[in-house]
Amino acid sequence: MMNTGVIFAVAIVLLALIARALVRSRDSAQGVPPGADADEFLVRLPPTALLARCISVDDVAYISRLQSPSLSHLLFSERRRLALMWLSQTRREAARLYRFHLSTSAQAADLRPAAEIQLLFHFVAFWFLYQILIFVVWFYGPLRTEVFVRSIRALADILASHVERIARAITSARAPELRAGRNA
Amino acid sequence: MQLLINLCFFLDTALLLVLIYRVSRHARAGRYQLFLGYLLALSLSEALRTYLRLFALPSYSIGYWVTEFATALIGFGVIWEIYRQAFISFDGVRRLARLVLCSLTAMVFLRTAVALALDPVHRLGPTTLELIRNLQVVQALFLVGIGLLMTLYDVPLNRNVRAMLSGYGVYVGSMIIVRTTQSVWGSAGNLWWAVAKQVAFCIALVTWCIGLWSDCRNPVPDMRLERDYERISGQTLRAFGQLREHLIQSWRT
Repeated sequence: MMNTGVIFAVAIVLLALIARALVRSRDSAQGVPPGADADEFLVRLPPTALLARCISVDDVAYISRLQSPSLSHLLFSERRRLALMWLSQTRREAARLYRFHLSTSAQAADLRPAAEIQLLFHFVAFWFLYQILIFVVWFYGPLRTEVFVRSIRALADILASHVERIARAITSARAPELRAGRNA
Repeated sequence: MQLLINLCFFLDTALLLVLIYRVSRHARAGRYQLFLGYLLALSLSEALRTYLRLFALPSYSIGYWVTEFATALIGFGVIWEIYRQAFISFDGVRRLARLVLCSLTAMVFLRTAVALALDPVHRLGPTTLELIRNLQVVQALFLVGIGLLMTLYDVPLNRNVRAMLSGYGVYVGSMIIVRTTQSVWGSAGNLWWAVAKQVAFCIALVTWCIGLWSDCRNPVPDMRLERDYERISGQTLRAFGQLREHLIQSWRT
């Protein structure tokens, strides 16, 4: 009936969860972390100045004038490292927010499963976006990532405008029918 | 090898009787009645198997599989007990857990229906070993679902429920691995499988004995903060939106 690999995976995940639950052996209710208040919901964004510096072309232009391959290599590798650090800081902030949400909403009697699933979807979408950016920065460096993101955004804007235009066209085409229906 | 199996059998029986005595004290106070029912079913099946082995050996294998199937089915009561006790003070998470369990059940039914529709002749009569193993896989899926929600929402457990969860989880997980290996390798008569099953059961019984020796109250949730769910989820949603925008916009200088 079932695939052997899947069955083994289910059993191993279960045993791993049990081991984790045993390690995290706590009897008393911990509830909300100490010092938790409304400020915890404030998004602590990592500074954009650091990333702006990473993707700025000024330093690249200056270094290329020196014609030193080793220096150029050092600049690019350090920029990549800084950009990855900036990204991981953003990911940590998202994880902190989600953890805080889970710990505060655990005792809410009016918790809505649909809203929780929606939040989980948003968190997964963010994490997916983060992974794409990590991949692009790792392989192409921050400078080309900026170009990549800009072109993706441009493409998304073009698509959005097309969808908008199509929607407008459909609405205007159906307007007489709707008006006739309302009059009848 | 036979000596080891016999030793495990006597140890298991002794532990089971001690456990029934201890849990019946909690059950009189209205707690863990379903778990007590499961323990009684286990002891009854052990008694029936011993009787068949001693006085009606030809019927032993039928009796063995019938009792094995019945106890696997009654095992769902333990999962229900864990679910009921773990989320007793967490109405919202309990609702979410119910949704997760219902979705899992629907998925299992759907998968079985599809498998039956594709190959009705072969799928209709799986061996008893596979049938019991599949029942335990469903139980394992339920336990994984409950365990993930507990971990995510940081639901505190009392010692009794933690022991119930870990004992049953270890037992079900080990039995799935043993039965799958057994059905793949096809050596049903191998004594090693019997030893592995006895040891897994022994570990579960020891865990239950330690954890359920005394009655523990459920942890009282911390209600210091206001729990306005609408506000909390709205703020988190806005925060995620802000973060996502920041992640994309920062690359456009």
